[in-house]
Amino acid sequence: MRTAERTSTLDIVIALLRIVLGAVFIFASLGKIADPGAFAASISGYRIVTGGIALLIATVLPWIEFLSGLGLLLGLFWRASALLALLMLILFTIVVLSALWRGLDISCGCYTQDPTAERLGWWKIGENAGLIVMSYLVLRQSSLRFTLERLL
Amino acid sequence: MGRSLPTYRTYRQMKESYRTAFAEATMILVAAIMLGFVYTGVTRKGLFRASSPSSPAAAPEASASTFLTYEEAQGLYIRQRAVFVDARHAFDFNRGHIKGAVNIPLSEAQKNHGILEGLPKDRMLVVYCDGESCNSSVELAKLLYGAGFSNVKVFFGGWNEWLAHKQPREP
Repeated sequence: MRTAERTSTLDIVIALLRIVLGAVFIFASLGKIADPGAFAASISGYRIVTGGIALLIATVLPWIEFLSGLGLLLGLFWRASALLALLMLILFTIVVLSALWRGLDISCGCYTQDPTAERLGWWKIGENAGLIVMSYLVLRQSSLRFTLERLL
Repeated sequence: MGRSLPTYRTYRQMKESYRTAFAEATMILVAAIMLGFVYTGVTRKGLFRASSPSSPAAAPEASASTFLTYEEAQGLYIRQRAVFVDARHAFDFNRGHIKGAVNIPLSEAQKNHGILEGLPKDRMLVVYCDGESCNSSVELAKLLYGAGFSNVKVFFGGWNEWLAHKQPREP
């Protein structure tokens, strides 16, 4: 079934999801890249890893977020980016769930490293679930509109 | 250009496309690791911060680390080198706290930074809460740091560890 040169509404919706997801990841990465020390402190707050391991994660993870975000936004390596975004989101959700279960009184460290920011809550699980659905929808596409890959 | 979009035509096609995605994802991961290390190395942030706690060069009384062990906290207490700040709620503070400690409940400090003003800026502050299960000491320490207190430490073992060692308490 070939319908040449037809861009359906779904294509546009998926492209928009891809761009929003990319922007969210880039936005989330910038604060962490600017201050890896503060991000390591946020990570330590979850009491899963501390010290050197937290610092190692704080060194690398923001760049995975940034590159995946850029990939999604531009539509370059977008499938790999969506895959990484999905894996990160699943990991983040598990970590947040465990923190909530343990009743930790911490801030998320997701978009801002300000420790006085809003406390971590169940809303975060809802937010992540939304982002997980978005990245899954992008990932399962075989081809996408409005990507740099199609131009190259 | 302009193929019909969403689904894969064959299972094999899908498998192939996912294999490419995994390969590309690995590339992104490698790039992220390299960028992370180069960037923090060049800007001397995080892992590569100049005053890394692991350098034993300047270790005055307590370690250069923000986190104090029980021994370090107790040493500072005995020699009266620091003001102890209790980050717990007033209710817990009133039931028992490190003798001489000042109560600055985190929740109140967050609402009103003014209550930090009473603390001395020229002395070391050692912040604590219940112990490992609480985070308010760390949060309050960050708040203090942001408010211009430069010499802030966290006694992570907190009240529980202090109590376990039968150190001076009141009431």
